[in-house]
Amino acid sequence: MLEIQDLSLELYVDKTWKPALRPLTFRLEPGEITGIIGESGSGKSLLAKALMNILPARARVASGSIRLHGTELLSLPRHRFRSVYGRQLAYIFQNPAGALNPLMRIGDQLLDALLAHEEVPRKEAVRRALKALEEVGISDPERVFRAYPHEISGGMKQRAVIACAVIHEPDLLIADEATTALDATIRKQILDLFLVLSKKKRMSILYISHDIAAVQYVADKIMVLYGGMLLETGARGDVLDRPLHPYTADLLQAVPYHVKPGTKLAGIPGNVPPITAKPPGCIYAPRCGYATERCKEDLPPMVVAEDPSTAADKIPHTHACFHPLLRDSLGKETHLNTNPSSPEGRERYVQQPAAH
Amino acid sequence: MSSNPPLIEVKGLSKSFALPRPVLWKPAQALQVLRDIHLTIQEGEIVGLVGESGSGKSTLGECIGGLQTAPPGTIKFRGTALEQLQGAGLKEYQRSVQYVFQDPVETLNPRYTVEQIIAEPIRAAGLVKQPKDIREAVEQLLQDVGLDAAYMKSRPAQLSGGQCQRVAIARALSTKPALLICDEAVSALDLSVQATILNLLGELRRKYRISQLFISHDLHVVKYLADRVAVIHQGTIVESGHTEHVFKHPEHAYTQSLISSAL
Repeated sequence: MLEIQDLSLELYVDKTWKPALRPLTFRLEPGEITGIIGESGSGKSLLAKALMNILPARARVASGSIRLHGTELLSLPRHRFRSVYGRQLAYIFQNPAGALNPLMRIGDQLLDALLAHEEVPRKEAVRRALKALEEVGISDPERVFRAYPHEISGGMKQRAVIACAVIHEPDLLIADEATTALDATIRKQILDLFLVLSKKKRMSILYISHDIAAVQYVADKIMVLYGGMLLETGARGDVLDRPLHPYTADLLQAVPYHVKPGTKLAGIPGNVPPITAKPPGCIYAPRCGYATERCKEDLPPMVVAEDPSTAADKIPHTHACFHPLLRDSLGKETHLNTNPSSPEGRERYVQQPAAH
Repeated sequence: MSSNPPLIEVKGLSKSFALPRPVLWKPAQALQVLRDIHLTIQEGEIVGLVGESGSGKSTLGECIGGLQTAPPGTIKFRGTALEQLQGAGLKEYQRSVQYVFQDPVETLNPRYTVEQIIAEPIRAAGLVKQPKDIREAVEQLLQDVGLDAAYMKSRPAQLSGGQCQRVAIARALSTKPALLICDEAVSALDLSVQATILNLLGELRRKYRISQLFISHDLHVVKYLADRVAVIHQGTIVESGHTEHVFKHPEHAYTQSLISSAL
């Protein structure tokens, strides 16, 4: 449905254009939730904004193509923007309170969103707005329709924002940290709502978050971004239970969620490299326990793993690493390439099957 | 249990904030944020405080840390009520209870160097007097939090978020506190950095027996770090107990819904 081919982005920093996102290629299919995991500076929000054509002025698309149902979006004439952005592609921001106009009733904002793209009689519009509110799990749509944003709770606001986004039944819904600002109990309800929208309406959802637990909960397919580079993609189970890229494995070990209390967390030494000082080779090489000279100089290409466990699966498991983690039939890591200079060696890492 | 009074004892603490008057002739309303809170923190213990936004968890931390006033007699520091602390006793309390805030960058003075940031409370507490000794103390603190001494001359803007949080922890440790109040201290950090800070906090407890009040909305982090956990909901502690027990056998309906909604 949406095809992204060799898309790369640049940021204007210190009076020059610096690569912010190295060329990446992926597809989004209807009825599928794709999760993007990334820390700050990974380029995940830039990617989402590029898809929506709302890049900030200091960012630009350097190369590549974004095709929706075969139509190239990067060369789309201005007068056709409205038929795509906000209608076929919808976006939910992190902070629901900031996304709503405090001086307008929720209902009027919904009608605004609807009437911006479609010409419908007011009565019909109101009926559809109420239906949209009901569909996102609001039990008393009439009251919320008349309410101002400050009169409803945070979870309700996020539902109202989602209602605005899905009122046209878009093909793709981009949720950029859409549950990060919500409380734990509400977060789960919103994630459940995403699951319903994708399965019932065959909507494609791009769920972007640094919250691994949330991504694990909703995503069918996972992409791991780090420092502007796509490091690993694959089905949820493949990426989280059998990670191939050392960064994914290290990240999973750094989350208390996956680790028993009392055991030391395997923090990753060092920091995410700033955009001004990116290494020429693999972006993770400076922090990686396996890194060899080759990693520091050459950019590892994205390759499909020859992992027997994924052969039957439709979603290919790909990674960008010269020394991917290997596993035996029990899922235990049998890496022959262990770097003796690594502080703890790598044999420590055995991923527990995560409860879901 | 030892016969010494606990480090911090909170008994029957209620707190409300005045709301603006709706109209001049009507009485001002008050918003009750904390209701009848009971909580003790023993020496060397990590107490986790979980709750959703608006539950009053930060206000409780601020009351214990002395950033908010609490009704007389409701908070005791080593057996003495906070408002009765005077002179040396007050200084001892101020030295012993330190705060680590959520946003590491905002809490550091951008015009100070790392050395100045950490040295200021040492001087204020009067622990070390000679400039040479203060410098040594700063070096030791940076080493404790895992930062190279080369960072002494850096300013916060030159450091990453994780490094800033380490400086903030070093500053909190500079007065040799007995209690660290960590209010969402790892929430703003990247995952790969968060783990190293959690390790650091766990290590500080093992090494210096520093108690911690660890305030967070992240259940996994609290479960990982805390010995005891208190669940706060709408200003009331609805459940508290040993972390493992509370997570395995939650009794209160709110705790149950909180744990079941953890992913």
